[in-house]
Amino acid sequence: MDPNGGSSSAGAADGASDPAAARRRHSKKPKYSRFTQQELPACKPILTPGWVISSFIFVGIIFIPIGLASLFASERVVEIVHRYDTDCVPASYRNDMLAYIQSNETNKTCTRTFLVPKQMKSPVYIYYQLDNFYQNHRRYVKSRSDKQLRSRASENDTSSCDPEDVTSNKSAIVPCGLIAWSLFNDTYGFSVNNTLLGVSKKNIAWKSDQQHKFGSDVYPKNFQSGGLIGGAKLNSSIPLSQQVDLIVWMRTAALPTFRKLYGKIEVDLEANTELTVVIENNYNTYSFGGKKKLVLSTTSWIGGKNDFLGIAYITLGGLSLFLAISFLLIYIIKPRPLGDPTFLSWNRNPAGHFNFN
Amino acid sequence: MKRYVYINDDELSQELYCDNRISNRKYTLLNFLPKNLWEQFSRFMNQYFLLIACLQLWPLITPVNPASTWGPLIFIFAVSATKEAWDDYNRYLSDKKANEKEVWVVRQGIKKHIQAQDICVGNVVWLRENEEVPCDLVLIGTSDPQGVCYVETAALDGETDLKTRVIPSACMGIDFELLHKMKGVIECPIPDKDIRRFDANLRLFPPFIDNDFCPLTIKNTILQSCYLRNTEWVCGVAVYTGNETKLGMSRGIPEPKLTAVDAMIDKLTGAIFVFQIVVVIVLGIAGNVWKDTEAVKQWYVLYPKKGPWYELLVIPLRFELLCSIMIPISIKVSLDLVKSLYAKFIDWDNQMIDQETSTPSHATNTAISEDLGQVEYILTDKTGTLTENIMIFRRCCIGGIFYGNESGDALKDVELLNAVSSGSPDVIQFLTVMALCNTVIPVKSKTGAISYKAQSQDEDALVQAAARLHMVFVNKNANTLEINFNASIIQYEVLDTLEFTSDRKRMSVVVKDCQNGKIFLLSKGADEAIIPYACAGQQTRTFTEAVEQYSQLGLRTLCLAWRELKEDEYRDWSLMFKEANSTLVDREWRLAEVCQRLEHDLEILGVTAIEDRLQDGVPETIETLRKAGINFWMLTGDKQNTAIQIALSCNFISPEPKGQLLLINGKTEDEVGRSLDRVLLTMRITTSEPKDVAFVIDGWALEIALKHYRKAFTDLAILSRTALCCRVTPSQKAQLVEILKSCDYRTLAIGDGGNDVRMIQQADIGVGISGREGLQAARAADYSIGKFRFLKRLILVHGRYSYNRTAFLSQYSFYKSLLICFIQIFFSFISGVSGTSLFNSVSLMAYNVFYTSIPVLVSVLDKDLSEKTVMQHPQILFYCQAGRLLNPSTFAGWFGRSLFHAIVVFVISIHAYAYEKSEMEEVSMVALSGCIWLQAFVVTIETNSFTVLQHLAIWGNLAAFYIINWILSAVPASGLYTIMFRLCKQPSYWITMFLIVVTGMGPVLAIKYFRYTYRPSKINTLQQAERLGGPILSLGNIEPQPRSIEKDVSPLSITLPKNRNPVYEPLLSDSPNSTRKSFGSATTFDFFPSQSRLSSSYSRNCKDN
Repeated sequence: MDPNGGSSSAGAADGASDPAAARRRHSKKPKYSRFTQQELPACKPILTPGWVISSFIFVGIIFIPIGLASLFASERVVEIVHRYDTDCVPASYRNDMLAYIQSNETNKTCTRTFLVPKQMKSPVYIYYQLDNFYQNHRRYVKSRSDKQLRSRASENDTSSCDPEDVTSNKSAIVPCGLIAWSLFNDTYGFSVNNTLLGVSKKNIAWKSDQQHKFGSDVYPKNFQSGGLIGGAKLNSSIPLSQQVDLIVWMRTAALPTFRKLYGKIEVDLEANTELTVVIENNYNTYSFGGKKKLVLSTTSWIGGKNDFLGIAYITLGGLSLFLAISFLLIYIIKPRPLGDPTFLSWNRNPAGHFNFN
Repeated sequence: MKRYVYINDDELSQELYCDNRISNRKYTLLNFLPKNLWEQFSRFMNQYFLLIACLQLWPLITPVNPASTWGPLIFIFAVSATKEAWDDYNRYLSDKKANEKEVWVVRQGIKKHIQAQDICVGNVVWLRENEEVPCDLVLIGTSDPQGVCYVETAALDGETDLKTRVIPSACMGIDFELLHKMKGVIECPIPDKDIRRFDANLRLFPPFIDNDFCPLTIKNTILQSCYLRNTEWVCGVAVYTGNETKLGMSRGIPEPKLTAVDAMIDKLTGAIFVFQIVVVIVLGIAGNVWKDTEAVKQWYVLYPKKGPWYELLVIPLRFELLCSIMIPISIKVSLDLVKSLYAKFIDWDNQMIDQETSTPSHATNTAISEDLGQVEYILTDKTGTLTENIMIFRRCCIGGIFYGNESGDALKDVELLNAVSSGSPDVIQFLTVMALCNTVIPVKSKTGAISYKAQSQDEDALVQAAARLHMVFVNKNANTLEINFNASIIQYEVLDTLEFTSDRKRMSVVVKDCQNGKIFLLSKGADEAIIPYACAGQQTRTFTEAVEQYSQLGLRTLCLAWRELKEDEYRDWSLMFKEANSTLVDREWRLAEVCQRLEHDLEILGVTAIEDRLQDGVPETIETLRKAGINFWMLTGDKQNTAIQIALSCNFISPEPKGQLLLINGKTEDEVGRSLDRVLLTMRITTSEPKDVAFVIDGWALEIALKHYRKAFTDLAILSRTALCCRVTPSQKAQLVEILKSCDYRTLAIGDGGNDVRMIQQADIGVGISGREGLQAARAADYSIGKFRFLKRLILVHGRYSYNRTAFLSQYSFYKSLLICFIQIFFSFISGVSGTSLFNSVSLMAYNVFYTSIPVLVSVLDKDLSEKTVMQHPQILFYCQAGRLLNPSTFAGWFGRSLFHAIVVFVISIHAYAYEKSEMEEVSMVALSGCIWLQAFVVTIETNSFTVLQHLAIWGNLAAFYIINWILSAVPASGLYTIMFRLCKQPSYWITMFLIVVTGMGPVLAIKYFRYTYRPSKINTLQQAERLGGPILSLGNIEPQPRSIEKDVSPLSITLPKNRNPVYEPLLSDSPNSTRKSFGSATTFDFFPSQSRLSSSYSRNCKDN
């Protein structure tokens, strides 16, 4: 196809007498390119049975092994979940757990023992899990001041921290805001056969947070000094960048059920070891019926114990294969030629009239 | 209501009328910002976005940083404001150039060089050859001793021929030295935009001759923006200046047209808005309930016991802001962008360049390309639109003798040549009328060859033909015409010209033979305007037959007649004519009446037949477009028979037995009414038969039908796929468009001349053919094309693609906005219904403006079917016409898809990232990545053809998403610090992504495949056929059928009047009984009241397959 062919002959007729005019006319014409003519080379895939069926088979073949691998990895993770919120309340207070937790007189220490079901290779991660705790509540999640946490200079930058921004005498709280104020304050001590197990707090917070989000020159100030005590207190001689529990807590969770890293046990725990935990049960989840769980877990390439991905992959792989097979069967039983012109109603009715019957 | 212009009076008129400053600007420097903002905010969408943006300034309720709305909003406003400002600046520059041009003007009796903008009404302006006229002037002097000058009016009406302008008789002979001392008064109407009329009077004050009124017409004026040609100088009095000139008054920004697609998008936006309000109310109530029951127990939230008075509103307003992204802020910008690209594709299209004149097609209106794909009715002009508008003299009948019937060309007919050389008086008189009765100007070139400048192509053809028959019109010198007949020069003096109007349908000249002083009236015109005025006793039967025979051949006929006038008869009449010429009120009507008094008792000399050939490809184009389900109406000023013949030859109507013509005629109300009822009845009977039924109506009957039987006629318009309207006026054309539009049809009007302008402006889409009748139509139109056959490509290729692309783009825009919005809503259920945003401000803004906009913009390159396939199967246009790709049900599909995808992304994200991984930023980024991945695959699966650009945009965008987020993750101050690096290192992140993609796309693919294979739409079937290269391409193929009038006409001979084309008689049957008889099987009596019913039954039909 030569789009210029016609015009050059037409241009020759009058172009001879007036070349300038011919050039002017020519310039009016748009320049030819494949883009302007919408003629860029294009591939036009269509959904042929072969293509679709094989892609479903492909998905099935890929997904089932991945699913098995994930499930296997997840199964290999040894996880101990121990709920202690009610068990750690003395029987006499079971009817009014809120009074127990809010009282200063009650003994909060509680000792629990459990067996290690399988060998747990170090490091064994210690988590605390809170249920029904809305760290993602809008009022809560916004109540912090990143600037204040980062540097001492912005100590008074507490405008976003309402209602835990300043003390009654208007001096800034460091760290301010609801999140810091409600810092989790249960503690755990582990022992095996009456020997204490060390709980390492090293590297439990993100290094990036310690380096860039929490200042090494920012020290806690006026914290938990108001009338209402929320959660844990902080040692005001340690800078925020070293307050790893706070840093972990300040990484708010997106879900109302979440686990946060408490520490690590850096020795292997053999199977059937009896583990004794001494829990300081301070944190109030009783007012809203939240659960508290202690979780000990090893890890794998996929993370902690989570069967979801594995099961989802296997299910999806199976469904893909099923779909592929059913499509194949339908294709074999009831073949349907693609692009059959008889499907065009106007071909059946050559007059170009629509068929009204 | 009149304006008095005092010539050369410097003081008087200065304050009264505006100066000559031309201003096309919409804004000034000061009012630009407020005015532009006001205009932008008069759109509902913008008001909505502004309200949202303002609400976001309230930190208590805003879920995200206000910048996420303000940023895009300001960007969008800035883009359209910049565009407006740029356009306005260009207008300012061109105005400035025109305003500051220097012209010679008489001031205080002295000629001065001043800027054009300082010209006042009443000033005398001097112009030289090839200068542009700065304002509307009444001529008072020219360099030509006869007082004639020539102007080119192309800028005004697009006509490229030179027009003669003369100075008023009162100014004749005034010495040019005295011109700038001249005093007088011009009484003229207040400014209007009619460039063909100027009914004014001039009275000069003493000492300049008489006290009499001298009539002025448009012939005595030169209008702004014309060019002076072939005249050394002219001088004139400014009567209208600045924006009050004829050109200035006819300017104006046309009303923006809204396409059906835009209307549908607005409707869907409204629906989404309602949905959003419902969601907000439900979540608002739920949020308040949760707060009162649950949140008070959550001690760490520290809800105050008693909140402020607006407490109840806070949560609903938060959700309003959270859900505000449901209505995509980017949709208007994206649509504007792609629409201008559609228009550019039309401009660029090499296959729509008229090779003869190298004129490319042009889309003046860039906003309505989608409508092209939804056209249901095409109303077309005939002359110049379907035909080439090159008139060739083919046959004639002189004094009862037919010439040119054998050879098809009278100029080669030996008998005629013999008659000319033997000097047969009839023939010579005939030729004299042909050569003289016109307004043609002969122009002699240096080599001595004579060319003719004619306003009417018919006149040109007649003069050319006369010249070929040795009656050469050599020279026109003011009022003297010179004719060279057989080497002898004959001179005539033109006494009066009785001009052609569309009401009179004839024109005459009164000439005086300079040799013997005899005065003749020479007339030519349509048969019904001449034959009834034949002198008593003359046999007119042969002429009537000749007219009929010629028009059956599709030729244009003119009757020529003459009469010798007696000296005193002429003198009496001349006085009346002069008087009528100087009236200010109803001049046209008075003139017609006076002319009537002279044009009677004519001796009819003969009939000319002029051929106007069909343009190339017209029959194929019409056939293709009719197959595409588009109904055609032909509106023409021509005679019924000519129109029917042309219609037959260009596939407009089918010959018997396939086609049937129903005639509506009558001269009185009753007759027309009865005729209309009969036709309606026939139509209803025959709708059930596969048959082309068309009705024919002439201007007179149409006038009555429109006035008294509007409803019946509307019914008829709905029923009839084809119609021929003959002898219609421009306003009737516009009325017909109006009627079809009132029935909710998408109409396209196509025409080439000034008489089509109103119809073009009235229709949903106006297409102008930049043809020989000037550019007037092309200028008024939304699209201008060089040839009628490009219409096929314009509609089937550009219109169809535009519709498909916009349908996808707009629905996709809603899909992606809804997707992210649904995720936010789901998240609110696990965040205590408190209105927390899962996504951070940066991600939200980038998602809407960047990540999801770019891939979809390349859908402007998508082609579902190749151009060739569409041309072979024009029926596929039905999907666009019926709006199958963008309607509430397709939208519901997209809505469902976004809901499904939102569930997939949300559920997978929160389960895969549960417990110790449930860190807010990470979960948010996982969900966002999921959305991005899904949207890339959604665009992929919805794209029919992939070019390099599409791959680049889709996969490049996915890559860009990661790159941008890596960059953001490297900035310590950002909330996203290290997040993306962390995620990319986790195998579970990638596993989650694949899971989301497969879960989201698997069902979509499966359903699509199933429908594609087992319930294919016609488009799918053609796609399959196209790509598998099956036999379909040969099926339903339209064989080119080269048909021209000549081919059909050649076997017809002179015996035709008695032995008519057998097709012809029954074609015009108008009684329902006759049809029933001929088609005995009229049993299925079904009445389809509208095209929509037709479409729905068609669609039912489609589903059955």
